[in-house]
Amino acid sequence: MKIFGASSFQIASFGGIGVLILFLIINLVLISRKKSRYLQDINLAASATMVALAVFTFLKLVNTQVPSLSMGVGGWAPPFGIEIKVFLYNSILIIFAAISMLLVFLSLRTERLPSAVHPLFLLLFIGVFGVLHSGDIFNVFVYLEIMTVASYGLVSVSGEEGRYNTALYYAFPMALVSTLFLLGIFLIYSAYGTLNLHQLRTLCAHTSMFPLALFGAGMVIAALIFESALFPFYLWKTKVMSTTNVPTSFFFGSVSPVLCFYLITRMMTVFNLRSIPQLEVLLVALAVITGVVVAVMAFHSRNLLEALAYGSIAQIAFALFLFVVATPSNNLALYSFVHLLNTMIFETLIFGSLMLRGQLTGEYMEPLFSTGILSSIGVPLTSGFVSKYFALYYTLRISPLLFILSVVFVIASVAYGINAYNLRKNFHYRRIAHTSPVALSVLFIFFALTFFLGIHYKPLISLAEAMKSSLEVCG
Amino acid sequence: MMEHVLSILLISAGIMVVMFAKSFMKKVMGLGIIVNGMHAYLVASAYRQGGVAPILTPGMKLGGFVGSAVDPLPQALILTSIVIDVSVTAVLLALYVRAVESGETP
Repeated sequence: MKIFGASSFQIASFGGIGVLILFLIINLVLISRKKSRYLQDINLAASATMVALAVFTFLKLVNTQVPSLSMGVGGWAPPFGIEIKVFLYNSILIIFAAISMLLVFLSLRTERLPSAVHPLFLLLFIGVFGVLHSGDIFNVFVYLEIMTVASYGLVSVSGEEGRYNTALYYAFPMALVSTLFLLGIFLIYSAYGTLNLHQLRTLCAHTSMFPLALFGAGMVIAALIFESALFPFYLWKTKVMSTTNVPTSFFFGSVSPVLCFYLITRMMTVFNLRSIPQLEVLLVALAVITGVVVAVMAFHSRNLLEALAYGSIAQIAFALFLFVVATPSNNLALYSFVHLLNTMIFETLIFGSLMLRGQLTGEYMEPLFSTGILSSIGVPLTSGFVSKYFALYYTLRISPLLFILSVVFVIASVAYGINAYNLRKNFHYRRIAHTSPVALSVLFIFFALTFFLGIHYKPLISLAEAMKSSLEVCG
Repeated sequence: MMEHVLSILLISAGIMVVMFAKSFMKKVMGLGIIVNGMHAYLVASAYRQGGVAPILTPGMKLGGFVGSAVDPLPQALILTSIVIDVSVTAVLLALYVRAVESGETP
């Protein structure tokens, strides 16, 4: 199908960001004309459009049976043109981001927040979709900056005492990290003369990496580790998440870690960094120390959002641990992707039920929240059990040390899960009289998926296998 | 080579300011110095002795053009980076002003 000379894929993938920019302009116009009451419906329409476009892109990819779909913006070939690239791995994350966006805008119906959060959330999701679509590393940087600038604003509109200080506490180190990321990019460009990820991957695969480029890639990974809030950089995340509003916490606890894992795995594949044993040891050490530290901190936390922040850090550290220790002869990379999929499901359930708590009566909210917590612990019959069970099973077969390290992560999940479950009773919120059917149905899909994939786990493994293969082929 | 050394010195100076300055405003300025040092580094890397603008004009021989045209990409990257740096600095300073106004001086 061709529309005005562009293919349907181009309309869907590039058009998605265009749609959001259009809605952002509408938001700003409505706010300037003091007609904020229309923002709710306008942004729900934007979210629904993004979900439809994301599903369309995914189906297009599956139906055409090609490894990836790409588009050079303006018809320019890389390295001069910006490349937009969708393959199975990022197309699934794009669907997840679109559903997260829908949940955020649904929750804003009952959250008492200033109208400025609407355009800020739109800007935030422009950044998220941009990062996921980008085929070159400089564009990733640009969209990461859009995302982080929007998040500075969101942290500062929480309504809590000391919010500007919290925003600065978060913003200044993040600005430094962005500088580190940019320096890494410039070093890579100085060495290779391109920033297109596909071209870089070809260059790194056929020649040994230039020391300058290796240093640059190291800087990029270091910046992403900071953004993932791994040890010793976890404090910013827990402070921000415990003091800000719940929709922003949802972003930091659910979308942001998944995005960081995606970028780390993609950069490690592009620059062939898994062949460097020293980096592997460093990442494993960081992930394990993170698991231990956040388990202790989560267990002693008295703030629900802070405990959940520690939990989301532990989950992503576990996925990264499995990805780094994987070799072509073992299945651990596959289970890191299974764990990533599970994290997406249970974090959405946990944060989603808290975000939409105003629209859910107790009889719905309690089971949704508890199911998310049970899945994050890895209780049998939930999807979370699948990744933890197989990870433990395969690490035991490979080496006792890896098994013990995996057990550390399971203990961390149990510690934060139990504490978060107890802390939920102290979480106060405003409730409306009736349950919103839209909010309930979106969360019910995740609730059903948790049990369905916990019992029939083969579709979960197949999807993770397809994601892993697509990263290896197209990353 | 000299340009590279100067840009690395600029980056180092910015890092020193960020690390040791007590005022938040000075730390933000240090961040700006680091970014500008990085821009200078990329300009130095892309510099080509006797280079011409990468625009093929009538009468220009293709072989000579390819041999002397400069790479336009670093300038595009730097331009984008400057815009991003200005936006981030503006947001940081706006947050700082709000923090001071509400008595939350960092």
